Amino acid sequence: MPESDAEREAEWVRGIQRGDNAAFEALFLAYYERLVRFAYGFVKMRSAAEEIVQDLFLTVWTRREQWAVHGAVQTYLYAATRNHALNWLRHGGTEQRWVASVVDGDDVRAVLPRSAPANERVELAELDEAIRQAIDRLPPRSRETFILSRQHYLSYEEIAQVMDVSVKTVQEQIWRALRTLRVSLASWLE
Amino acid sequence: MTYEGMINDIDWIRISDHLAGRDSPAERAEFAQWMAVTSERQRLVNALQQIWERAAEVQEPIDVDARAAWLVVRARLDQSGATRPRMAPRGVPDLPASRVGRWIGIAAAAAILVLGIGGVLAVRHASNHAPSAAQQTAVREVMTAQGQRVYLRLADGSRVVLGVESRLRWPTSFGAGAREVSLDGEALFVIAHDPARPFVVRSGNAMIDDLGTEFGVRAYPGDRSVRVVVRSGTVALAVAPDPRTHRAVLQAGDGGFLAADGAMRVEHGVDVDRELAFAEGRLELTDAPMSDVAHELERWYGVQLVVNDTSLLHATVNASFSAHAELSAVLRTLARTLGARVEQRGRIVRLVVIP
Repeated sequence: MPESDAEREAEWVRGIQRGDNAAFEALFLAYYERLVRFAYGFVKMRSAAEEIVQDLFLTVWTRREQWAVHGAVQTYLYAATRNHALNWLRHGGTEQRWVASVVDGDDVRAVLPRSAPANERVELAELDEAIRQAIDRLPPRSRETFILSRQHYLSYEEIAQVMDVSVKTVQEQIWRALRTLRVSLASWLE
Repeated sequence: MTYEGMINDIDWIRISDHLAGRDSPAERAEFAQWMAVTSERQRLVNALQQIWERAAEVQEPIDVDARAAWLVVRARLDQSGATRPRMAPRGVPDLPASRVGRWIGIAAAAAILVLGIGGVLAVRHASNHAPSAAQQTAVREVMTAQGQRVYLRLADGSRVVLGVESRLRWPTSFGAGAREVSLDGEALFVIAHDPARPFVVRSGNAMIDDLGTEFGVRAYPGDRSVRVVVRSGTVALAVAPDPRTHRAVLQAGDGGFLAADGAMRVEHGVDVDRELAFAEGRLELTDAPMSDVAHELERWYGVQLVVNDTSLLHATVNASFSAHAELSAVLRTLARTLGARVEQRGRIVRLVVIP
């Protein structure tokens, strides 16, 4: 991350701690989409992913005076999103969670797929779709590491902090992911 | 692949560090030498390079609208600050229902639906406001956003397909008497019949009594009438304040229309499948005036249709779209039918006549 970004974000953090609404909005808008996508990778349900990230930001705001960020806020937000998402899964995955919310046997069975989104979606090339699906099939931790590196542009050191592992583990997950992807995409790439 | 077996773990680390740009200049030179040894290595590195680069472009297949979400968060903050000052916005963590459900107040939620946020599926678990009642009835509520539909199974075994931008409320426990639900918007009901416990849908000024059946109800705010279409069985449609005097019995294939002023009309032999197409995810427009088309596009795709030309304003549309159809395809078809072209800017869609 360029130095100026880091400085600006540190300024937002100080602003939020002072109760500055605009700083809170700026941080929210800068990170919301990325974090929802990251959370979605765990929970596979958009409404849940959005809820997780919204809860996270609400907690930040309501506890802003005691809010302590050691190091970069980016690492903090990714790590917190990750914890919330894993916690959500522990309380029973998607289906169980909905059933668990049922009081008297009512059951919100399935959210039918949302129809085409409002904005035009660029058609994914076939290779891209194959890559996306191959990434999806990676072992969970390998997948998470690879996605944080390639789609969220976190450094190995940042990923290590978010996932609470060593840099060496990150390195290993990345090459293992690459090796698996190479095999599953063999027919596409010659 | 044969050459995967020819390289070892050290090579894999070397390659991935190179792709990640983590190798030193000396290591880079070494890497170039290593790669130059065989054409298989070059091919492998090229393929991995492609995967590495394309992987940055392929994201989770979801749309996220941070602006809309910000409005939701702000509403939740406002609400927790203004109307429930002592309640932390995190709600009651031990109650799973409240975790799913503590979205936002109904008024705020309605406003947000109008703003068109996708993916806010709210399942609320609220209590009726009479705290004194010994038999306090908990109410559940499901709301769909634009473009979103939900399949529900109620405690009594009845099934409901809730259409786009709609809301269904029902008690968590139906108790011994009538099973009563209330609907804004559109839904298909497949009712587990129980003569001792009639199933009643309240919607707009209508009371719809199922007599063992499958039927659809449609009553969006702004609709001219509540519409009830029966696929099988028998349904009684009545005017809400006094269901005894004003009542029509609908059989399979009938459509009942109840206007706001209480006027009731029954049509026989309606195209039930077409009327209930939403439940299968089809958007059907039958002789639809442009104002209806605009409403439906907003509900299904979250866009606002703007039509300035009077000849288009008075046109009617007949079309059928799958819920999986991309908006662009829907708009193309619509434009072609009307002899117009489409200009889209964000959520605003303009239909312009081709001279």
